[in-house]
Amino acid sequence: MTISRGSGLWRHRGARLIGLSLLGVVIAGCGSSTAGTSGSGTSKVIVLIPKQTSDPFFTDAFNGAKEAAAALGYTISYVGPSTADAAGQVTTIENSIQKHPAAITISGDDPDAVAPALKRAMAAGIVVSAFNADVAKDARKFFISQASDELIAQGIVDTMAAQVNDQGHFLLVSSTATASNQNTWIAFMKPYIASKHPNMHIDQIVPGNDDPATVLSVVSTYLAAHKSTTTGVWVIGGGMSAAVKAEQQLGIDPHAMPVAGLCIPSDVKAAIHAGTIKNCVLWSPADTAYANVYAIDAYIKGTFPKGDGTLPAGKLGNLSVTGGVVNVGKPVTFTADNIDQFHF
Amino acid sequence: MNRLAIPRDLARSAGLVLLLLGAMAVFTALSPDFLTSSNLLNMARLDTENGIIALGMAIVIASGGIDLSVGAILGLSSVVLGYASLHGVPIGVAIGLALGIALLCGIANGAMVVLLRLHPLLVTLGTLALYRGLAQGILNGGAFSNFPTSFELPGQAYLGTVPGQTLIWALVILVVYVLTRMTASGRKLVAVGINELAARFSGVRIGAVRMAVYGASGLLAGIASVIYTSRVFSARGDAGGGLELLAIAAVVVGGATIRGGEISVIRTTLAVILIGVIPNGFVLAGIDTSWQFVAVGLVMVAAVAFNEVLFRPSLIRT
Repeated sequence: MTISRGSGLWRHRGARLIGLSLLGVVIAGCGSSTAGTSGSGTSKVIVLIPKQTSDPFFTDAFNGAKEAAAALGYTISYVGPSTADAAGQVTTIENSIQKHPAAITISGDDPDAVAPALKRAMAAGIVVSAFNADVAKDARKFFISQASDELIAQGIVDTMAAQVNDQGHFLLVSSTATASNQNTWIAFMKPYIASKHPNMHIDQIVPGNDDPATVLSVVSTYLAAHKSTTTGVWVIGGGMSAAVKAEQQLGIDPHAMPVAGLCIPSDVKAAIHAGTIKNCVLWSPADTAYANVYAIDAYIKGTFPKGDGTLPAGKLGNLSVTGGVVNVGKPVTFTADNIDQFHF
Repeated sequence: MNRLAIPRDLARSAGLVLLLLGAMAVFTALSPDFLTSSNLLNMARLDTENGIIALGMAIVIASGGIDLSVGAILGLSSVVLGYASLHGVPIGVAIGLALGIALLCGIANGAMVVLLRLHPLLVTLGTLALYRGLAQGILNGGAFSNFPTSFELPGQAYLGTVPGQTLIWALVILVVYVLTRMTASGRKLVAVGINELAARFSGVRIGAVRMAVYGASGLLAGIASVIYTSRVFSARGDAGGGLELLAIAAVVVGGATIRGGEISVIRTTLAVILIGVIPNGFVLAGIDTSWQFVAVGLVMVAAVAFNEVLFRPSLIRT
């Protein structure tokens, strides 16, 4: 606490007491979490930057990270923009560098826009990793892939194919147009559809911004014009249940025009139990973030595999590492039978 | 200028400085990393774009107008820069094009306000959508980030430990201060904001003033855009989304009446710094950032209440 880094006046106990009493006025009852522990070189703080702090998906990732951090002796600082916004992430990174944490890990909203700030963090001796959505390769040390992108893309396609007799025309709702994970899955979906499901066609791709209100509006608008020619709706960003709502508002039976793709269990739980969504696919964000903390710890200790190898990750066992990418595993398909086991 | 102007202005500035010191004291108490020269310079670096745009907004509001399109101009200007660079235009020329487009966007706003006699709120609400739409259309929702390394100069360079763009901000503050406070143009600007009719009868060319005002706002958004684009090294159509509200907030927190006729370069700048301290302090103190808008809101309400309630003419003794 007494490492002197600022000017003397404001480090005075008196000034701090005044500050603390002001704190009571300014942010009373805000449910603040732990104050930062810091220090140069020996920090045990890992800054975890989600795409948006208000998303239960990332809250679950935060919980997984906390579990691993407790086991390995780190603390997690969960900070980021409250709506998905690359500029907000850049500001968060720049501010976090001042905290001199051991590591910064991020789900990139835009792989390139966050790169200069992440490079500055690496230049300051901070370990930088990405999880969930990768960033530019030279702006991070490694990436934690929640599940193989190819298997995710196949899961998205196969779950829909089984419901539409392997044919038809589809609307695809992504998250943001620049999100790297979305574009990777779409890039895997297209050849897979062409080779294994040649009678299925993606008619249009629209961004839903991971936001139920936007998903509702884009699906309604699209279906109002293309109701008769659309077989089903893929949602691979957040807000799948809003697509079902959009169909119902237009008088379409969701059984006749299936909604499938990637989902957050809490968002679709009711719809899956009601049968308006048959099944959907995802991975466990908590496991991804849990593995991430183990990878960061290994990197700091110098045991992270250079090139290909395996990474011991606590309860997840040994994970394979290929060229700086840690693979956590396969996607999970949620159905009425298993969805109640997931809490995010 | 009435006799109250000086003490009232001083008191307002003092109020803002107190709020700022209060917020800084809180964060200093919460994090040892807050009050360091490195972090203060980091904040100055991150506030630069907002600070430059807010000065443009201060000029527009002083004239009795409003410019909701500044964030969209930043986005369009950024995309033009990226698009030009993508097509092999030398980076210096691309920067010139980006500034030119921003100026043009501002002048187009001014032209619609002056020639078509439309309310600036309606004009710039329309051009907000128009400029943003163009920005997103040109890059087709994508992003461009293969700039030459020389483009790091506007937004990633340092002079010693001082961020380069902060020097640009300081220069802009100086120029706007001199132009609005010490020249006839500045007095004309305020005259138009106080009473358009009286200004007209005093021989002020209202149309010319308005065009210049919106042109300046556009150009300043363009300067902010070049810095922003260089800082994130990526051109995106959604860059600068929501910046217009932040800029308006800074002007109002700075104590200028939204009805026009007043400008304070210093207080607007102080307000930008005050608003910028909060996200920084939250990250350093490890406070859940979901709550930061609560703090921003409280600070803004406190500042506005201070300005509006304490300094109502009836409460001021001469």
